[in-house]
Amino acid sequence: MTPDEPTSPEAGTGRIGAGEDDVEPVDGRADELDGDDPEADVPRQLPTVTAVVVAHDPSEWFEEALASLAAQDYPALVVLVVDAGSAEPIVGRVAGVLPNAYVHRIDDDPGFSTVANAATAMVEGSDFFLFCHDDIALDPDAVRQLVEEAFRSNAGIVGPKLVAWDVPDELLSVGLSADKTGVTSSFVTRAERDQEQHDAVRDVFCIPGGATLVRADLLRALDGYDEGIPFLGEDLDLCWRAQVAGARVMVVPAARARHREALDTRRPFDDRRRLLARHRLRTTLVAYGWFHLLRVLPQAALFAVGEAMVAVATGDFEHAREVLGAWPWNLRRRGDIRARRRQLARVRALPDAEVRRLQVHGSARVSAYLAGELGRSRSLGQIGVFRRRVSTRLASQSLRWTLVAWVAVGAVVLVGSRQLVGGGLPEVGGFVGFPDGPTTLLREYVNGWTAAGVPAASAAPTGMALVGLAGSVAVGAMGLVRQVAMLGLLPIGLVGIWRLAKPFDSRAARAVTLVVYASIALPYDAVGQGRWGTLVLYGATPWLLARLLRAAGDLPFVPAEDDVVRVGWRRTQPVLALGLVAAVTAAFVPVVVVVLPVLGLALSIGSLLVGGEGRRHTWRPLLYGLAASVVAVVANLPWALTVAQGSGWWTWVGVSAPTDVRFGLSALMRFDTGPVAVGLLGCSAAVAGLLPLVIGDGWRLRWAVRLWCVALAGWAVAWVAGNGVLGSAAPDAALALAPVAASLALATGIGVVAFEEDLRRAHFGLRQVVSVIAAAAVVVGTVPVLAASFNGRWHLPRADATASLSFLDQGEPSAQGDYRVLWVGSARILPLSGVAIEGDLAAAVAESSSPAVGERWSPGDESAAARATTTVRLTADGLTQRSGAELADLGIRYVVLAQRAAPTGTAELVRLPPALLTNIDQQLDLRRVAVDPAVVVYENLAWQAGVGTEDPPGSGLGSRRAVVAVQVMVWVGLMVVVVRGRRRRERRR
Amino acid sequence: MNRTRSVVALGLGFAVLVLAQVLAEPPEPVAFGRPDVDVVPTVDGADGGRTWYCAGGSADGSDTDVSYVVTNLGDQLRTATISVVLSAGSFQTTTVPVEPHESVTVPASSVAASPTAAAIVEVDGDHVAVEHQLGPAQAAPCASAPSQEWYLANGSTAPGATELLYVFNPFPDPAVVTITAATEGGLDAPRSLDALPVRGQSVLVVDLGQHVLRRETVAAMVEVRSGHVVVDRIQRFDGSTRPAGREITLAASASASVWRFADGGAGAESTETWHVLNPGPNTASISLGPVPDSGGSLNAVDQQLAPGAQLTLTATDLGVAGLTGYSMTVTSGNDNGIVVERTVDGRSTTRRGWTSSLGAPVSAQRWAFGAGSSSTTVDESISVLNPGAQAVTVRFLQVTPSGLVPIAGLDAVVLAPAQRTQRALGGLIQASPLPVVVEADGEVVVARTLAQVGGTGASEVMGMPWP
Repeated sequence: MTPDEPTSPEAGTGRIGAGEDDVEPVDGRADELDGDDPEADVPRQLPTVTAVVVAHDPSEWFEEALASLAAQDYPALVVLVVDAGSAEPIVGRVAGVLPNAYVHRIDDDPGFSTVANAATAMVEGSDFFLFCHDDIALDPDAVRQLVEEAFRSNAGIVGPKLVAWDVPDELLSVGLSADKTGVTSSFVTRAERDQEQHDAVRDVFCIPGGATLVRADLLRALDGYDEGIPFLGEDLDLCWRAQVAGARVMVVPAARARHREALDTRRPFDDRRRLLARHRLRTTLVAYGWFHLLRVLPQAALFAVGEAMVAVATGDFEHAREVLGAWPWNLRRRGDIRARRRQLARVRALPDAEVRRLQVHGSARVSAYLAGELGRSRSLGQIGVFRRRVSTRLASQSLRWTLVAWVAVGAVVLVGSRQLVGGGLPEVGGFVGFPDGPTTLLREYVNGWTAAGVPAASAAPTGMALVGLAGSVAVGAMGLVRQVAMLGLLPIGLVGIWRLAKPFDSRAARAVTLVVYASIALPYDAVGQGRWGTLVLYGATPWLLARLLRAAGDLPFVPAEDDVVRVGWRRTQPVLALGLVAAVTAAFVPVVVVVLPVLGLALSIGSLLVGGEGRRHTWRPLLYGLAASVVAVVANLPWALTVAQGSGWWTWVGVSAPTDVRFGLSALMRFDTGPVAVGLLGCSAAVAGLLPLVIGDGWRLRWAVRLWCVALAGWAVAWVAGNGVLGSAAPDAALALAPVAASLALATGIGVVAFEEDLRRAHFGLRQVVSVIAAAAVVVGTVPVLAASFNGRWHLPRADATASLSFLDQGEPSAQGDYRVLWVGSARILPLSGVAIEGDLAAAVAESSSPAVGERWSPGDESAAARATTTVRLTADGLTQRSGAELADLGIRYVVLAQRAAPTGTAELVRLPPALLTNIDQQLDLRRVAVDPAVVVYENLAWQAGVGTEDPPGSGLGSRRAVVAVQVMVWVGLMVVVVRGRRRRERRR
Repeated sequence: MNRTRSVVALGLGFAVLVLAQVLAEPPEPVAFGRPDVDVVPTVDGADGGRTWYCAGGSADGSDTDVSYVVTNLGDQLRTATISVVLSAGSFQTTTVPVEPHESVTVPASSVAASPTAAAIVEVDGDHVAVEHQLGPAQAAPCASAPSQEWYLANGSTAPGATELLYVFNPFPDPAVVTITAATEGGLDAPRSLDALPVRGQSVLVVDLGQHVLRRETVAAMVEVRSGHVVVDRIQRFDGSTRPAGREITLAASASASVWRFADGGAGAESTETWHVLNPGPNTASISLGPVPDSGGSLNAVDQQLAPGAQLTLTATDLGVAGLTGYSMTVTSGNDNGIVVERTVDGRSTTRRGWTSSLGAPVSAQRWAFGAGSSSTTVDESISVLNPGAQAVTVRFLQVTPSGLVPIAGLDAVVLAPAQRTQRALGGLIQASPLPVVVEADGEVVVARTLAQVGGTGASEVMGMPWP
């Protein structure tokens, strides 16, 4: 075989010294070569080193790298070059520089680990293996220094000091450390000059993979590299396992190597980041014993979520996906991981605590982020695009705005919610409990009947299916789903407003927008009172407004190149995207299909007022709002029909609740809707939002007017809802305040832009004074929420009524048969949706003492529930003394009159009508049960087991499933359209 | 664009909001019907069923055996379910149909045998009145609602007299009551009557003579600390000091600041006394104003009545001795609630027996009586008072199977302001039972008197308003 001839495609199975013909010396020798090759004229007392160079399409530097091996002063060195599927065979290039080297070719590129393992399998008798990249050039004495130190320190793995290829006095690495989750950290800073400051030999946690000398027996004991980590992270994995096996890992700065870090040019950055995240987690899963693994894994998950949240906050969704995607990737390989763990357990010599000594404390990830190096890997080497971007951002003023705003807002939200995050959400008001598993919700949804009210065959709310699906995605962790579905709406809204303000092209403006939106008491009041619906709208409004604002066709929300008349598909896609968000929102708060056109109308009126650039699209926000509402309705069919046929507003408010609480205009303007004491400071958002009206010009002024139209419309709707115009029990006025909050926050952000853009041209005068006032308003506006955050739970009661009523579900009653519980009270505090009796007084029937999430939606078939409410009304009017007998027909065994949302002393008293309390006490077949006075409970003496608790008929199940199938197709179609549209847009950019 | 125009437009929008806020009216509070208990038994005119509670009496063959008189005043067939309490939570029940304009008498002993015969009478519709009676001349309405306070301004535990209180708790939850007495000797609150438990769906019989010894006048105040109850009084005399007999009376479920009596004047052979009880916490300034049938006016008698005290005034005290007929209005000037009873110790041949009746704290245009009798053994008379400032025309109607039939000669009786009339039905109708309805074109107060002919026994009660 000549050097010009390719090696065998079946390579990788032969062994040097074993007579295989697929490995050949490049000078044409056909004789065998092993570690003790006599022709090498090597003194027998020297340990033999086989340098394994893994090459793949090496560039012009390859010869220099080979030459460095040729120049080594260590005589017992054999070079084996493995060509990993290079497009052009490299045997000739090797022969030109290293005529004594062996070349082994593999037609594809299975990854560094597989190649290295294959190479080591081919060699017999070698004492050390030196694994080299094809872009590394060793100093002539490097191998000798490494071998000497390996013997001197009895090290298992040693590595050289790495310096930059072109700038040899710039340090790249003198070994690495790692934190508990496998995130590596370098001992040198980027571009650090080599002034021999790191030239001491020392133990390190990891030797980067450019050049690594490994003792052969250790390598065999460790079963080589982990082929599940083809490249990127394989070095950390090997070193970690070596330490577990009791081997020392050392860096020998006297041995120097120049490293080109050419991988950056071969693999895209995102790909490398994704692989690193996966491999890091795999190594963590393999290397720890069970005890430490159980301790570290939750922390790793926490760090991953944190990194993902930061990524989302900065708009880098790909990064978030990569970080979180590492978990399912490893989950799918759990069998392989178990096998690796077993293998490592056989050679384990040190406990994890010993291994941890060489790791850094804390989180290298957080340190890297703060240092502007998140995402950088010492394996990635050179300063990549991302690193430059992050570093530049960090160094800039704008990123500081981002960091300060997010850290401050995040801290306040976390501190304010700390007891809820840590201690769980009590079942208060709309914060109902979720079932133990998602199947209950999905089954009820598919079967087409719900336990809301008295079970009846009717369209189940789409929201039940969404919650059920979320539970499935969370692998049944319904508690987590509940926390995210309720508390998670806060950050969703904040991220939404942050993204919404992106077109401002001013990080200061975005930061102020974020701070103002986060400083409005509305969502915290909603948390404090268990108003889930308000939270849903707070979270959804920025995402809804995003499309509506773009529809207005005015800068900056539509890039200039997009400000063209769209036709066909392009015109439809934004509507469908808006419709999808509206559909998800409407699944929980159907009234959004009314709110959305109102917002569109307000924007259109604003456009009408301002004219200007958006004149051509004056009515487009309204049309978008209407069309999106139609999409939302269609996506929620057939449940939407049930909603439309419902009684009054009760079905329209979804998981929210109608209320007869009257909010005055002053309270609405101050967002004073709950326990957060806002006082006059609640007006701050409105005051700050006036700024662009006074100082803005151009699009700043136009948008200020539009947004103020939205704010006024929101206030008007809230006022109308809260003052009996829509009936005695109307949607919670707070629902309409979410768009107001978003509008004022955006207006304030625009004010900042106007301050930056417009004010510099103005002379000193009123405008500057107004700016100072607005700035002060933003600052003082944070005080109420800041103060409320100290409470730690936004004043949400610490306990719920379920404990008081748990006896209903225990012991004797359940043994006697199924029964139901009739809840009566103000809709504001009922834990489930009811049917109106009078005002916001409602009656609702639950399947147990603790209503489930499915019962938050108003029952589709109200006829049975209406019977219960009729009985309640008759009772309240004193027209019956046998209400128990009437309720027994519905299987109702207990009647619960709710006077507080939580046990006495923890929630406000919402008085029940005195006539009801008096007359229900005079029922001949209701016996009062002594419980916490927050609720008044009666046992129905007329209840009989088995009466009224039969399941609804199953007829029509087939057609119901067909409807569900159609609905699923509609949702999938919507999502496909939206995703494709997004990709198209990104490609266009 | 024009900044001024935009800002002005926004300002106008805001102004509209402010204006709406200013003009907004406060919301109506949520309200339901019947938030309070009936002050007097009332024939329900509204839709829906009605439950009556009859506390007193027995079903053991004694002289306090009780019967229930269910009268259907409407034109729809009704069904009455009568549940007689045997022991706590245990009932004996019977169901009787009541044809339109029919009165059905059901002896308790036909339902159950029990030393007490408290009953719940549930009717499946409206326009039904229920009374209970110890005999043809001893009838009184049952309660149409329970209450947490009950008052009786008179009673006696004097030698030869037995005052029994029947405290009926018709509901499943236990009740706790405290009974105090106001006597001529002052307030008496026996510890043995403090916090008496009344088990759910049971009746507690309290013999006041066992706790308040030998008092000529014993007014009772029943305070319900927990639950709701109904209280009846049966006053019995053994004949040693007064003619033997007994009377059943439903206690007043609330105090009131005005009590009107359509009947006054007992004749020379009988003794008439007035009893005023002040159950409130404050001193009551009471005024008793009689209006004689002969016209003119008498001076009102004003008194101060201490909290928890009772006052007994004779006809002489009031200046009405010798008057053959008069009406009486008792008021509490400072709006303190009081309770007033008129007691007649009849010794005449036409009216022999002890009666003590509460006045009417309300007035109405239509009144009903479910029981009653006009026969050779019982005389029935109806008294009507026009308390208003306008003359009213009154019609007396007999409830017959063919409907409400005007009683001849009494179908248009005109009463001047403050005038009263008393009409004996004996000469006009012979019927037993004799349900009667009195209606007027203005608000009036109506009372019924029953008297045993040639024997001992009488009763006097206010009618039941029939809205």
